Amino acid sequence: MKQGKAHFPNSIGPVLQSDWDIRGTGNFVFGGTGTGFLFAMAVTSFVGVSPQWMTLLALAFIGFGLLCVMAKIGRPLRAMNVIFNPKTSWMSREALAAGPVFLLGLVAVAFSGPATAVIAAAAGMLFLYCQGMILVASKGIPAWRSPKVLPLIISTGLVEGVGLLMLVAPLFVGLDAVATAQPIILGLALITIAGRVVTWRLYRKDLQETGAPQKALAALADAEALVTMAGHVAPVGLLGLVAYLPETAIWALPIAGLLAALAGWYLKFVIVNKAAFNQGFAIPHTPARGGGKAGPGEKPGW
Amino acid sequence: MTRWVFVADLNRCVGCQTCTAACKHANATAPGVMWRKVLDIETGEFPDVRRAFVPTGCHHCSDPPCMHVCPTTATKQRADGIVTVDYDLCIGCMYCSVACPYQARYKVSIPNYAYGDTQRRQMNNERKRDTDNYERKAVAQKCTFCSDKIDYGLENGLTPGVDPDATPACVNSCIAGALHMGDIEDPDSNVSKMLAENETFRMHEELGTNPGFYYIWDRKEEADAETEDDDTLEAAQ
Repeated sequence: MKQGKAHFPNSIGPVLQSDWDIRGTGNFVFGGTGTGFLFAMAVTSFVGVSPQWMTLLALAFIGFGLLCVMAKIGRPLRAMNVIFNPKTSWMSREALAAGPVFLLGLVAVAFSGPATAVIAAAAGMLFLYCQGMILVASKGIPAWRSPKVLPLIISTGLVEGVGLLMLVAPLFVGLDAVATAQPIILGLALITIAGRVVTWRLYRKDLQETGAPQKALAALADAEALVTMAGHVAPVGLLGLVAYLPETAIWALPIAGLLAALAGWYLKFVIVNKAAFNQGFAIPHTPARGGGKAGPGEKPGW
Repeated sequence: MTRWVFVADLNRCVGCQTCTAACKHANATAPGVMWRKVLDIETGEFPDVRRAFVPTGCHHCSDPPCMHVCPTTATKQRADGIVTVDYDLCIGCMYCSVACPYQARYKVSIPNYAYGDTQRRQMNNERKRDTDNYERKAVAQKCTFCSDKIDYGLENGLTPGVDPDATPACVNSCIAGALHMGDIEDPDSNVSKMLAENETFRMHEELGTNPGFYYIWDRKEEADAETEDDDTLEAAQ
């Protein structure tokens, strides 16, 4: 039989958490994109860009994210126990919020129109909020417990959703419909991307000011160029091109959407898997030992 | 009310890891899993270097983040402050682990063996862990404060932290008398007296979890003065 590998944290300084791997990231990636997509469809439903079947795509994303969690837990047959603690656990609340998202999403599929789309999106936003709070409540991981991670998770979820809409709308809805809604789509994309630029800056500033493991700060700094260039500068440039030359929308909108969404996925991967160094150990004083004198403490890795 | 806490005298701990071994022996934890362990922390630069041995594990916080985040209510807190895990409820999501600032939690999904996986080399406790219905398989596990011993002791009129039969294995095994436990709410308890006489800190106290693991790093000045007075008195006599 294969030798098992125990979860074995035994370093003094902060070490990268290994409890939530890429499957854990999958929940944030697909759940965020799916709920952001519900939001984007709700906004554009007023101009008829979002046919109701696309809601199924959003639900598929959210469902796949939840499946990623199922694949991660040690006892999947007990998965329903996850709803037992809504009083204090954001994971329970996320699981409970998923129910209305699917229910109202299916209602939006059955009865198309702005009202049902907006209600489904509102449920989706609640789900997305829970996702952000899951990270905030993780006290052992300095890069997660920053309260600024919540607006970042929400804003990038919205960007990813709008990006997905820009990717699929020209392909499946048709250029004429997209052309009609183009100002709304461009405005929505610009506003959400601007929101992510701001929340990403605030998040990094907060970590630098309140303190985080050096390796966590380095991992976020390493991601800066890619997130900024591929996730913000390039999509905004392409959106500007579409605004100036509307005939480029057929290829520029999907590329801009794809880049914006992929950058959000990468950002979440970095936060959940690369910058997720734990607190490490620290002592504020070294002991006196016998007749000696006590010395200064140690907080390695900070 | 009672609140059980650990007190580790860093002036005494020699880093022998006997507490680690005693805990593994008492609780039959898998290789790599150490509910109790002793950190070896070096500070400074030659020639001004210092070394501290710091026992750690679950700090049994009074406001435990692991309990708050647990989606299944598997992690609970007893009235005496001990933080517990109900293996039958836990789904092994390890949210508790990322919420814990002390790296106190472990999960073993695939059986592992100290001396190899052949039947002949497996220890009895490893054979038990090998079965699918083993309660700790793929769920969160951590220090239990040997709550079974504490409960046994209390039922039989013993004092945890004083009587070995009512005291956690790690404390019993400590060769240097560095590791202690007791009721911090009782002003006459062993740990309350230690805390009164010595300078102590708690790790990551700034996170607001109110951990129940105190570290002695020096004697209080007034305690030193009393000792000096006693010495002077003895010398005079």
